[in-house]
Amino acid sequence: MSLSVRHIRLRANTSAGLYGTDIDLDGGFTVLHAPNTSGKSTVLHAVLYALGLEQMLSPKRGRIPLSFTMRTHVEDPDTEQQHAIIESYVAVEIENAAGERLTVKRYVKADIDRKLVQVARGPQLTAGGQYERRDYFVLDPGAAQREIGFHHMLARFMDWDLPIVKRYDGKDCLLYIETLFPLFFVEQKIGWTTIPAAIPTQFQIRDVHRRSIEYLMGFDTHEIELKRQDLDLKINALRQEWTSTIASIEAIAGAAGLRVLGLPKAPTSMGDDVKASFLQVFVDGKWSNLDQHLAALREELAKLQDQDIPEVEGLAEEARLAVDQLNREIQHLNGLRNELFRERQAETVQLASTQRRIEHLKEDLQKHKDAKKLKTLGSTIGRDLSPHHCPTCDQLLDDVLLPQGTIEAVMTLDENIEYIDAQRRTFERLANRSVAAIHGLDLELLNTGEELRQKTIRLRALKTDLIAPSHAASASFIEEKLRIEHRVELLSGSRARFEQQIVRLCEHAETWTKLLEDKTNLPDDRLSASDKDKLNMLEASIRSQLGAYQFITFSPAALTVSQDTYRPEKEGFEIGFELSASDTIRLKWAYQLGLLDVAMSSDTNHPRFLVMDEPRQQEAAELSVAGLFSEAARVAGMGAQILIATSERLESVEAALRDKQCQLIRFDGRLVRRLDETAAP
Amino acid sequence: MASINILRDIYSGNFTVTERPTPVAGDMRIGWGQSLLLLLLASSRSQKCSLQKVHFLAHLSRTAASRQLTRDVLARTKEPKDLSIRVEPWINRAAAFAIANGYVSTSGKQLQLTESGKKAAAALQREEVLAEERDFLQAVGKLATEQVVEHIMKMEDF
Repeated sequence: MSLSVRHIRLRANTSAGLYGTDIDLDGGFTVLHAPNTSGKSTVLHAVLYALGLEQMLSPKRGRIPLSFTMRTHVEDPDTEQQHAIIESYVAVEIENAAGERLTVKRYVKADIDRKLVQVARGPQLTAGGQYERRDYFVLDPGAAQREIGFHHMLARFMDWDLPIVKRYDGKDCLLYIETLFPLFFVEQKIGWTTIPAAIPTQFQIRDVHRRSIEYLMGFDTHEIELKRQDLDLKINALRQEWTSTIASIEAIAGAAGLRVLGLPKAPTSMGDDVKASFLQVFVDGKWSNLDQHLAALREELAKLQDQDIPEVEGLAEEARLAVDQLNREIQHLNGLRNELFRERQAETVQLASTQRRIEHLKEDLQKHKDAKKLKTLGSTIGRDLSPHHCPTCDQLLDDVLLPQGTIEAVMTLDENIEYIDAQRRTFERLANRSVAAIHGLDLELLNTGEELRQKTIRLRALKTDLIAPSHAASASFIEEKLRIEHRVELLSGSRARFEQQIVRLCEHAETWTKLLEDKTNLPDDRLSASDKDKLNMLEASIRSQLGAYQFITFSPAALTVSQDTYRPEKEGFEIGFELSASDTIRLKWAYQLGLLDVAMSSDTNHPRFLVMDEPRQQEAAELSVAGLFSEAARVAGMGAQILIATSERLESVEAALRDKQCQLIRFDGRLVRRLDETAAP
Repeated sequence: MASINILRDIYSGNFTVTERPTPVAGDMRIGWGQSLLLLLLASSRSQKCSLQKVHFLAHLSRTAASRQLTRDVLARTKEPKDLSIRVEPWINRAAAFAIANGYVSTSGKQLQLTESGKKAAAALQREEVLAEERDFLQAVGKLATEQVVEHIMKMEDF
């Protein structure tokens, strides 16, 4: 698995003739030396541009990462005249592990679509000649996956079998090439900012920093991690499924005025717990078991069905008494419902005011969070926006826009945020209580309403009996039978639908058990023995390099590489601001070169290729740059290609490279210059 | 009074009273108030505003409900009388701090952003702070001209 850049060509055709540059690389350790602002970065960015990797630098499509020299006009280094560019392109010749070469050409300014990349299957730049040519595209969706996508082709050329990873939205995507290149291509714009690398996040890949290192270093854990992510997503999906099933169960029960007890609200693997849940029905002012009530109703119905329909004559006295009793009951029910209505109304008002209060608290919380952010922002925009002292008289200030001294002690922002948050939580609990109370009252209203309806029908039937001729069949008897029949039908229907949902929930419980099992079966130790070996090698390489680079913030022996984030740590804590600027740069050299160092002696997906643009970064001492050259020469000696561009003093570069196997390419002025007729077009 | 004496009898031992800090509303914070003022001025024509308009917009940018209502009134779907407008003393104090910080200058009835105020406001607009307020002011700042504010204050049609 390797990639090596063998030749870089830049061409700009202007009104005053052809400009450009050619850089031939021997495939080992190369130092490209040229003064500041001579266009070194343009040449290195040209490599990224030719390979369609500009999204590594900026998420914006269509932004060309090249300076004006390739886009609009060329400034002649000799005459200092400006010439407008008519057409320009960049081309690179790359080689893979099998020794195959490709020439990749992409236009910068031309009538040709910039998304097109022209590929010739041969060393066109170094050996000339005609080779089979084909056009590929970059940037468009599918560039990484489709046959005519350039990145798909490039990955195959480099022998990379890119894995499928999870995105934040739960969908799958490829681990894009743009997320891997920053690990071995440190360009000057953003490349030096972070360790392990400035990996683009716009592809929305979960844990992209870890995934890219794991793939590049060929960690076994990569597969396990992907499985873990997949399981986590499934677990979350099941949680949602569970909640929605519970909601439909409650809707079924609520519609029939029933309530559910013993239903596990969160997923459980205990199917028996789910089966143990049951329905209750509201009868005669209290909740009782639905099954028992149904059995009683059925028994009553059976009795009525066994009887012949009686005549009204024999029932008159009984009916009169029943009418009186029913009238009293209906009156009582009406009273009860009035009370329930009032209670519900009061609770609704309470809920609305609690919700208003929560809204206000949320707004106030946001304001406080903003105020806190402003505190840190103050230092970047000049004067502090929330000063501790009066900007005019320098008196101590309370952080409040009231007349000073009105409040004895003002809460600090953090305390205030905590205070508002605590209030918000309390009010949210209150609101939840109100919602539950309203739900309960609604159920009671539904049930009493139904009871009232039934009693009114019964009353009407009894009154009909009282005025009917004495030999007529009893209407109240028929009504009672029909009413009970209807009730049994309704309740058993709801019960059956409830059972169906419970079966579904039991299936969920089984899936849940399986998911939890799968999760437990994942190895506790994220990393395999070989992964750990690689990390140990990386650690050792970084430590020994830091010694050579005069790293001073702490002893290199105290540095470790996290098995979790793969970032360097000191005593288990991520290394951050405590490093001096120059030591941050040294650590970055050591890390990037360390990855390559490990790749030289183990089986990884690293292309054994490293580019560093201006590693000095105006920060690290001259002495350390000599150390970097010597380490780079050592690693390149094992068969890697390392390209370092620098504007360091030429004498010190030459001194540092003395006795080292290195190709030194020197430019005294601008890299892009006027070409004579003999140059390739 | 009697109850205090009873309490004093009960708590006869040595006890001390610690003053607890008092919470303050977020818009009463100096940083927040000044930032709102900067955003407000930045959203107005030539980065300057009469005191009346400053009070008008500052009060109405504070809550989601009042922001929506203002949008509706300016879109003429609600009437000026539906808006409740208050003069906020805290805005005057925020203005005093902003002037002392050199972000705002005043010429009698008007407040105007200075060069450094413009820079500070631009920095605030870029950051994700006071985002709702910023979007609101950017949307209505240009619509609510001095004349429109005057009409609304007088409850006239505009």
